[in-house]
Amino acid sequence: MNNIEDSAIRRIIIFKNIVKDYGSVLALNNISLSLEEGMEHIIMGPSGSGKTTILNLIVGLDTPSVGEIIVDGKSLSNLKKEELSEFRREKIGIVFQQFHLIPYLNALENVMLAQYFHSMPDKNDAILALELVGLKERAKHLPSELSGGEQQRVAIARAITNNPKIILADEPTGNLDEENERIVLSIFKQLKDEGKTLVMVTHNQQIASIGDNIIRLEHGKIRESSKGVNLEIPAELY
Amino acid sequence: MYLKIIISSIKYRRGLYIPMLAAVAISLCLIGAAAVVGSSFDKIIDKEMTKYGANVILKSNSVGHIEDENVPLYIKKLKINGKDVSVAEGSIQYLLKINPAWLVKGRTNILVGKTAASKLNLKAGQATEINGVKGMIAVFESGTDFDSFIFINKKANSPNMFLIKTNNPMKYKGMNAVILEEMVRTKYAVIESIKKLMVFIALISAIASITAVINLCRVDTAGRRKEFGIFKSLGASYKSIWKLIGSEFSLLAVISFIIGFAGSILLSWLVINYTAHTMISVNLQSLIIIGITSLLSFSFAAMVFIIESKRLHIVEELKSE
Repeated sequence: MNNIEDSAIRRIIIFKNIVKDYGSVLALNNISLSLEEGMEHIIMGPSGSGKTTILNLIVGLDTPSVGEIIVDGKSLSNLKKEELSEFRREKIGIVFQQFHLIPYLNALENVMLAQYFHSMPDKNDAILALELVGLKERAKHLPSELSGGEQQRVAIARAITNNPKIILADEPTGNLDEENERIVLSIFKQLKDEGKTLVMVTHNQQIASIGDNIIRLEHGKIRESSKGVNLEIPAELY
Repeated sequence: MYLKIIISSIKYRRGLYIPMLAAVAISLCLIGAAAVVGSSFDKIIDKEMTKYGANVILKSNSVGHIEDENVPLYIKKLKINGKDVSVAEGSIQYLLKINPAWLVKGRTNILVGKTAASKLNLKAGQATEINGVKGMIAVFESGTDFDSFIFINKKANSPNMFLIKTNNPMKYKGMNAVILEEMVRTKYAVIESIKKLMVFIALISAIASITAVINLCRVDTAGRRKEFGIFKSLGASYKSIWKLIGSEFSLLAVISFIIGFAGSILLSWLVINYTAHTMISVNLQSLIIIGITSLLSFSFAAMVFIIESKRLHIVEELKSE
């Protein structure tokens, strides 16, 4: 594991010359960036531009073909499979567009599942997480008994219950109506206010506008980015 | 939480697991019943043979030792016609396991091999008392090691006694020897045939149930892979996923064991009760056979998913539909 110097601590996610290809398809083409801690970063771009690939690389679900990724001071390429699992449960909370809840566990148990893989399940903590997303009263309901918006809020509660530093969200409002979209976004804002680093992939320009920083991708390259994203990696990180 | 996940998963997949459990349980019923009928049949044979007479075999120490280690013998002092004789004593039941027995028809209390008779100075037709068993001595000659043995019929009411079969024709006067074991087996030929048939069906059904379990598991592969993908995205290690899979299928194995065991008792009871009109005999061996088969069936199922979890590409499993 690499420990990064003090000067880089605020840069919680660093991509160094990342190339990711799937055979003949080039998903990311030599991308370098560093994202500041405690901010809401929005990744935008058309389908196939590499948005989700960036999230998958940050969480260690996928590996780059070339380059190095450093998250919270750890170089992911140096981690073994079990260390990657540990990194994931300690540092990252992930929210998917499809919610990906376990269908046979109720809302509370879905949240406790993340605690179970993390350390010890704590019912009170899980209820607190559900309370934060406004679903305490629906704790005993199965995903099939919840609306799409409610399922997404359970997924958020599951992502935050272990108190991760980074929350990744892949089109979290993609399947939601306006009302639920508003609720979900307000939860994300609250999390950001608590000092979490959010990285969100979205197509929605309106959502993007509320983020601190926006990275626009096109054909696997960064077309433009706002002030919170450093496209040049400081020399001391090399 | 751990148990909750396992039990909820089993409940959720009941549509898949009920036929799986049924397939394994039917197989276990047949395998268990074959084992129970087999052991009950052996007990019936033993019981039948004991009913016929002799249950103690004596060998004079002075004429050498029994070579076979499978026959436990105990050194013992005997009073023969008031004289102390040192002998090795063992149960004929043990000898029956390595030698088929002959039935010696006609009341004979003491049968003495030629060598033993010579060493102990016993004569055919002589009235003798051995440890309180009174009788006339009959001397036999088999030309084998058994000529060193004395067979005592301890069952006063039994009209017959049986003797170890040897390769040479038995030579003793006034006796009509038939193979007892063959006789008993003929009497229970129906059970013997059923037992063989059950063993055959049990083997076929074991193969069929394992195949069914593996194929039923494959139906659920896509759902499982997605589930493992979610677990991995939450930071689950492979070990913790395997623990969940292992526990889930262990629980299924226990359920199938209970159903299979109960079913096998019922089935073997029906077979034994209606053919031999006697009680069934359940032994540890039958339980072990049912347990191993049950574990084996679900181990194959667990292996299917453990392999799937290793081959998993998480991104593919979780990508947007």
